[in-house]
Amino acid sequence: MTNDQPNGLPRRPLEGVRIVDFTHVLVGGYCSLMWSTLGAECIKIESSARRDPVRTRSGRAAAQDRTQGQMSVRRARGGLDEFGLNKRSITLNLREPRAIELAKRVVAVSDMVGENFRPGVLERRGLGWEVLREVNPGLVYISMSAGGGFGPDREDAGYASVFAAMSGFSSMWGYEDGPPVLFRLPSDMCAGAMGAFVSIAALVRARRTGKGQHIDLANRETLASYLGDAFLDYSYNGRVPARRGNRHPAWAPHGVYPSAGEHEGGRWITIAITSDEEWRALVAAMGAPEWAGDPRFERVEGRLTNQDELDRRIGEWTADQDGFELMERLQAVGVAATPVGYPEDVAASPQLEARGAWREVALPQDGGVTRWFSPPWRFSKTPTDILEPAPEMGEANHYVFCELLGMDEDEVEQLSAEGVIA
Amino acid sequence: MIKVEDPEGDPARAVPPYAGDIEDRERSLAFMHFNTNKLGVSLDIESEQGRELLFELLADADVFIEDLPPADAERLGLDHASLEQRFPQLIVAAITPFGSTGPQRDYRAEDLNIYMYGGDGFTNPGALAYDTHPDREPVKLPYASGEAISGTSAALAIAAALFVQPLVGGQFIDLSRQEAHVSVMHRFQMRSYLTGGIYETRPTNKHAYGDCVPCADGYIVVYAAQNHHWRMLVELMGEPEWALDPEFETQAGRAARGDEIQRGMEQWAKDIPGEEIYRAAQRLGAPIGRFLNLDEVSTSEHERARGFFVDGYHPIAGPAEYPIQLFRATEDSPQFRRAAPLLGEHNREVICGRLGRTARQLDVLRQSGVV
Repeated sequence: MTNDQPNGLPRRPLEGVRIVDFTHVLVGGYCSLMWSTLGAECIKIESSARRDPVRTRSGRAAAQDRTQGQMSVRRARGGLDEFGLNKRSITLNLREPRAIELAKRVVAVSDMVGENFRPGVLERRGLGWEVLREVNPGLVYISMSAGGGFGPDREDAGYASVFAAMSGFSSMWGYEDGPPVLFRLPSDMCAGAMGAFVSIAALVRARRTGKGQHIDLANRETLASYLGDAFLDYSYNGRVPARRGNRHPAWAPHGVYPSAGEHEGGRWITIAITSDEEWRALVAAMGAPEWAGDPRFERVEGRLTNQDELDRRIGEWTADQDGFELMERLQAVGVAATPVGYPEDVAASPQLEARGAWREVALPQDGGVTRWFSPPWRFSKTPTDILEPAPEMGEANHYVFCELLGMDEDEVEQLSAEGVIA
Repeated sequence: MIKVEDPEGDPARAVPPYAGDIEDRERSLAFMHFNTNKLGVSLDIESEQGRELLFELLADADVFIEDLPPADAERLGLDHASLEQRFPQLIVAAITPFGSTGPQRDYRAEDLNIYMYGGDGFTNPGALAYDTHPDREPVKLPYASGEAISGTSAALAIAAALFVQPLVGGQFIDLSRQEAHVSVMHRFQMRSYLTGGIYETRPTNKHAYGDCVPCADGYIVVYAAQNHHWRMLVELMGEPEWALDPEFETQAGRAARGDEIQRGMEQWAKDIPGEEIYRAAQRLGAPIGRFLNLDEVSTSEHERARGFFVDGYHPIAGPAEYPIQLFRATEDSPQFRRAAPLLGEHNREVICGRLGRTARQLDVLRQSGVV
């Protein structure tokens, strides 16, 4: 199958790149989802002895589980149905020495290896960097783990919520006068996106120089780096930075205000004023109420100092208005305002619809169809896309072992029967 | 990286706090962090001469990254259609709130608006912060982290475009910050909604217990949903009577009485320092962590050993440790090569050195306000 466009150009940016994908659960799963939507051939290594937990669990079912004590009847689809998009799958039981040898042969004909086991797991199986660089000198090999591959806490048990707390990120999130906010699942996606960026950059270099490398990425540090300015406050000023709520150090008003409508989570509108000119536009949109003419609010310094009162007044004005209508009115006068968007709002967004942000994809197993969210970029020449649903386990065994490695079918069948390709 | 700023300076230069708490456009920590390792040129791209200098820079560049409102990019001839004929090798990445097309492309939005409209703002805060403040509004991601999330998505797309550049030349990358947030932050809730018609909001965005437990000197997070983790937790707590209730032996039994477990854990943890709990838990293999404050991260033995903080020097603010080495690679680990540029610091180096203007020509450009 050729993946070229009619003009002979590659169809997607990473077309022709082959990746041996040892990743599992979410950090690695999101990272390799970026690779696979960018066009790389991601060969997911699975084993019936050790299934990727995202194959069998879905996030929302688990949520129902913990809040109600039982599985929801409206069990949501998810897991690998989404994280496996565009990927291939082969089965290798890595407890078998012959499976390790086969894995090396796949690595030899690939460009990159990705993994997010606890540090040391793949080394102990004989698939560490020192071994695989001999197998394939141009190899890029990325390891992602909670605290990184070395350092005293390297063996820490680290789920998303744990490494997010240890990064400092969670302690910085929350109301000024409240407890911290736990950064849960999306922290996995943040770390995975960073992994995808760094590894693709290494591929660029490998393609130019022929030289591969190993990357040891710590999820804790990805999240910490997002708060670089706050860390510099400690570094330069010796100050331990505090939680800021929704406020901005230089702009006011800058907040989330109640709006009209029923919803179990409430209805809200966000407003961010970045200059005195925008403030005047907001005042005019509010119908120039008397309180807004107070000289304390005229310039940003005064608005920052009197923010409690300012926020209360604005909240009184927004409370009985529809957030979506208010967005239109305020945007029309150049004020940055958007509602807080629930999933049904995002799903109905005319903007996302117009940009083709949704893709209909067949669900494996039951023949249903669902909409998944596309990658967040539009490439003009090599558009990324969702082309294939998530693979069944081992669907690419024939392709990889017979077509790529040149093994004969009897041998593959024999190894399957013996629990090696399994 | 050559950062092109307006002669007035990037607005980030006016964002406190400042190094030494001295208000100065060269001391904004937000500007200093996010512009480390870049050269800096100040150009008025509203002027024709300024734009011509920018075009000369683009002729020799691989990538042009801009975050102008789409209408401004078009007005200034910096949009994809205008650039692609002239610079066929150039990768142009436009990072905008809602993308370069669509009915809302000209809407204004800052980090707060984007996160709340496209991210998972409706789920935060959950757990303890919701329980203590149930009537308050949703709360945004801390500091500039929401912008960093969009930035990472852009960086990964640009890296992919560079990879394919030898084959296809330049191209346009249209990155919507809203879409980046849906992809990274909103993904789980969106999937639950699309495939099951359900999702979490602030009251339900929590585990049954353990998300945020006050201890003697801060907070800990306890992930103990699975049975083997629960048994570790019970051992860690010294097997208190309440925790030995047979109903707690199953995940469903614990979920049904999560509030009770949370209260029991709070009672146990309240007099014990977080570090003690964390160390003892990890020895048992239990996924328990601390909510570290940033001074604790900065001084932690782990980050010291990994070299996450790198010595840097800024010509005005002086020396400090920068949190930039977020991965270690056998070839290309991140390094501190230069501090964020002073406003126009490299005008001479770039405009004379690279673009071949004479010192006199540069003076004229300066006097006319172009540079």
